Amino acid sequence: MKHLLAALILITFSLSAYASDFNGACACKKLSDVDKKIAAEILKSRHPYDCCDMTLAECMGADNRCRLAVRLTNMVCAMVDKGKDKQAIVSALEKRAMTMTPSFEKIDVDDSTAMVVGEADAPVFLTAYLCVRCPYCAKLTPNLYKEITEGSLKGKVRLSVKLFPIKGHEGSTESGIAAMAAVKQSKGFPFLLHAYEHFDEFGVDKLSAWAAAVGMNMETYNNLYNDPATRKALVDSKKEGLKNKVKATPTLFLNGRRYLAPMDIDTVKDVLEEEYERKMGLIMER
Amino acid sequence: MRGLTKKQGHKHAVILILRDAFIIIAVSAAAACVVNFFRSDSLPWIAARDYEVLVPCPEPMGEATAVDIGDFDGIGIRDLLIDARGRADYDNWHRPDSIHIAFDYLEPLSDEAVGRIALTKAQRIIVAGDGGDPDSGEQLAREIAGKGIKNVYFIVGGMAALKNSGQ
Amino acid sequence: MEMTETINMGNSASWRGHRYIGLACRLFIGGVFVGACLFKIKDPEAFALAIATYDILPTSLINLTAVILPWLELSSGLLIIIGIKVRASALLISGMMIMFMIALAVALTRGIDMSCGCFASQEAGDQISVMTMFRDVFFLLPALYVLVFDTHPIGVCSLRRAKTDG
Repeated sequence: MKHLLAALILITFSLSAYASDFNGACACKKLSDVDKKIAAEILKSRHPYDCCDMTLAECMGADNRCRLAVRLTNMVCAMVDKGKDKQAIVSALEKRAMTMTPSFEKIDVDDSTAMVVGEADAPVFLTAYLCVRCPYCAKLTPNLYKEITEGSLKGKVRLSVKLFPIKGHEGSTESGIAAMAAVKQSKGFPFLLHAYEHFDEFGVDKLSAWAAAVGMNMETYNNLYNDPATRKALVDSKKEGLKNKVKATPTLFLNGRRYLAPMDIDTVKDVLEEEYERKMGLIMER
Repeated sequence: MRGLTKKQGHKHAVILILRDAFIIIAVSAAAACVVNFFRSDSLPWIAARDYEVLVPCPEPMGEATAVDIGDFDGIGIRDLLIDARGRADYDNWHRPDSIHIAFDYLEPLSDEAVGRIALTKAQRIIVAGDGGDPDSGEQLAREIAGKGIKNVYFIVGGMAALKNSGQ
Repeated sequence: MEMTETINMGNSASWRGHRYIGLACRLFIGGVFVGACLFKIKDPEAFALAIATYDILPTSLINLTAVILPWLELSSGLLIIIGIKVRASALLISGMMIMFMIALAVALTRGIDMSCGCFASQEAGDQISVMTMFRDVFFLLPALYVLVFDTHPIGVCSLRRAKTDG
């Protein structure tokens, strides 16, 4: 009887110690046992880049868990759940750390040809270089826009989109000129979101109809579309991107720092929340 | 078999071909399943979630080598010098041994231009542009390299640096 | 006895030259299939990603296809080369080629631009165009030729038969 009791206590203790690795990390709770093991292995070997000096597993087991440890633990578990291997997860953690590390590299952005959304006094400023014909941008941008205008990032983040037409995309120049014409009529975002919503129906001949669909003045649109100055503005936007070492779309800059972490909406959102907490002095909060 | 009419023979052959094909499919599927079961990186039979097929889209560029004008050994007889500046700058002044391919920030390099470069069979492709930031010469050199042409260089400082060096 | 390969399909099909043209076709198309399946067998996950990129199959069928299809390519490729169950292998190869062409046509019609580097799959990174479709037709024709005309294929079975008859 004594042995049975001892065994029960031991099992309960082991289980609680195992569970404490994930305590407070929602993404970890739904993992299978095999995935939990993989996540635990990573958490035991990696340290957060701020707020706690121990490994992630130890930080999560501490009485006062810091918010960053919970965020990073959730990120690890979400990536394990997506079937990513250990190497990819460790690399993503390192790139997130690089994204959040202060950098001397400063980017130069001309907002006069940008599409801007979000409150002017939002503490986090996100710059995105996008191509109208980039499928990844078509997936990420509408989600990001929604989060900033009506989701959890409202009031926290201001997004500035600069056009960076990718040469490999068919119709990138024409759609870029049309988007620039929309920017000049203060219809940049409605046009861009419409173009992404109808991404698979694209044709250069559809651009006028898309401009009309978002309520642009068609006479002005046609004049702007054919105006060499609009093309030049697009070229200048791309040159600015190249100067800021943009090589692909989407490329994001977080308060002027290059964003290197994974580009899925959940991670982008989480990193933006973290940056907001950092700006508001909440990063050390327990 | 000789007793079969031609039509019966055809039908019989088709049935046997189909039977054999079915056996091959079954044996291959069984082999595939067994191997997948035992391999360390086996795929689950049913994907748990959608595959993430998209990645950020890169600008189609290759690697070109930067050449500092101080280290440059000059344009040789087997080199091809490309002037990447705009038409107005080229018309204003250009080196007689250069060919003009203005770099366009929006439109990709035409197949005709790539063919023109490839046909020269030059040992080195040296591109000089406006020397700005970004430098049209560097961008064109990288785009040419991205088209699969090897030994592409660009002059840091562009055509102005080349002119000032007297080379 | 390879009954499928001994039944006389008519005068045009009984011409002995078909055996030699058929052999060339078999070596060519078998080589293509064996060569093409090796990387798919080595890295089934990459192949699954390539299938997913075409966005034709439901997610639940992608892995199963990625596991089985390369082995089917390997067995039909090897069998058609060595001369066992030649016409059944030719039928399978033709079927697979038609399936690939349908996938290609769907991708082209949808305007999926796989040359832009926007896809995680390396295989899908190959540029697809109408020329790719012509290439596939070029691969399909020898398989169809073997299926229809190569009724007495040269290979392991014919050698075995010759030995038995001799």
